[in-house]
Amino acid sequence: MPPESDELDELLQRGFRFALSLTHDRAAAEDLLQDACLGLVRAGGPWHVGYLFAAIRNRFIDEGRRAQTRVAPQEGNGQIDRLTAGGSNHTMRLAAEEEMDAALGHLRSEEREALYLAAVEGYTASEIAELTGRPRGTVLSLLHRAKARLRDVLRCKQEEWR
Amino acid sequence: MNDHELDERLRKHYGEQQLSPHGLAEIREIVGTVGAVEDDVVLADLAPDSPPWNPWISVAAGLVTVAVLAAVFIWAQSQPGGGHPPTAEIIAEEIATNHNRDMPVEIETDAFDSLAEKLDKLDFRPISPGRLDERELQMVGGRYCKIQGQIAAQIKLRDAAGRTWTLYECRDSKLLSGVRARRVKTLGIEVELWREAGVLLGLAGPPD
Repeated sequence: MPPESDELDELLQRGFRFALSLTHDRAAAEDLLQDACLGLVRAGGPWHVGYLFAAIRNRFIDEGRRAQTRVAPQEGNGQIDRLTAGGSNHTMRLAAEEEMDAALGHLRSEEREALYLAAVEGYTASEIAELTGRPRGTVLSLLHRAKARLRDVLRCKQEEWR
Repeated sequence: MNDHELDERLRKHYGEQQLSPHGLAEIREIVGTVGAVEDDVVLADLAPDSPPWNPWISVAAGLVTVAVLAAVFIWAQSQPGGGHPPTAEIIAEEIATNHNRDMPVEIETDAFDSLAEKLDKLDFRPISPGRLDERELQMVGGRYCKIQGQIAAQIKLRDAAGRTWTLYECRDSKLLSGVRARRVKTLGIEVELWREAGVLLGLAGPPD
């Protein structure tokens, strides 16, 4: 049985964020989550975060990583102009969010996935290894590389925006 | 930027991402209705080959089903804790999930007495366990939460290194009778469960 309303919403939001870490595209993440939920409904559950993440991941792989976009940041969309126009805390916060979003777009889906599971969901390297089917050592080096790369991109972005 | 700061920025970034209300409504609908729709389709597909409908068979099947469900329900209720009391692992996972969510406190205070006065909807008085002093944990504040649907206090703490810990307290009850005092590692968090003065406590923090 699916969980009650609040629990279901919380589970769906977590599933959406995980899907977003894979696709780096909101519309693709919603589609992926919807497909995964449909699969769980047909299978009769179980409605547990581990199963939902596995279902999302399997669908992402099944789709041949079509959703993997590695989008170059859309810096011509006017947001940057708006961000740099003012100096308030609000503007700086938006700039930081934009900067992180753009930087994540430079990572591979498996790098974002590992970072998301470790930093946001608090999974250990062993738990990530179990979920993704990679050896623990590979997960550790993936995390190390992803963080180094993210730092580099963020540093470049900060220099560019100055 | 060190690892901790980078993780913090990632948590903040992803924490602000929300499924759109339209997307949420669509998926809720799928979760709530697809099973029923599929059942209807299956029944419709079977109809041409089905034997003639006899209402008495349906009534008899319904009565048998009700009798079996009632027997199972009565048996489950006669078991300690109503059949399936939550275990330490289940409670620990619920606590670790809440800890990872890192919700802001609703009441900022560093004193248990003050917190207990402000969380006046609780059905118990939050206690200050000695284990916090052993770990040199300082209270930041607290908020209401639920454990297994039972009202509880969620108390945020910091250690000397600035790391966040969360203490959960709820009234011990028959529902929680199956929860043994122990340490459980789950979702990258260590959760210590124990009881004091009729209160079930769970302390979540970084693993040792």
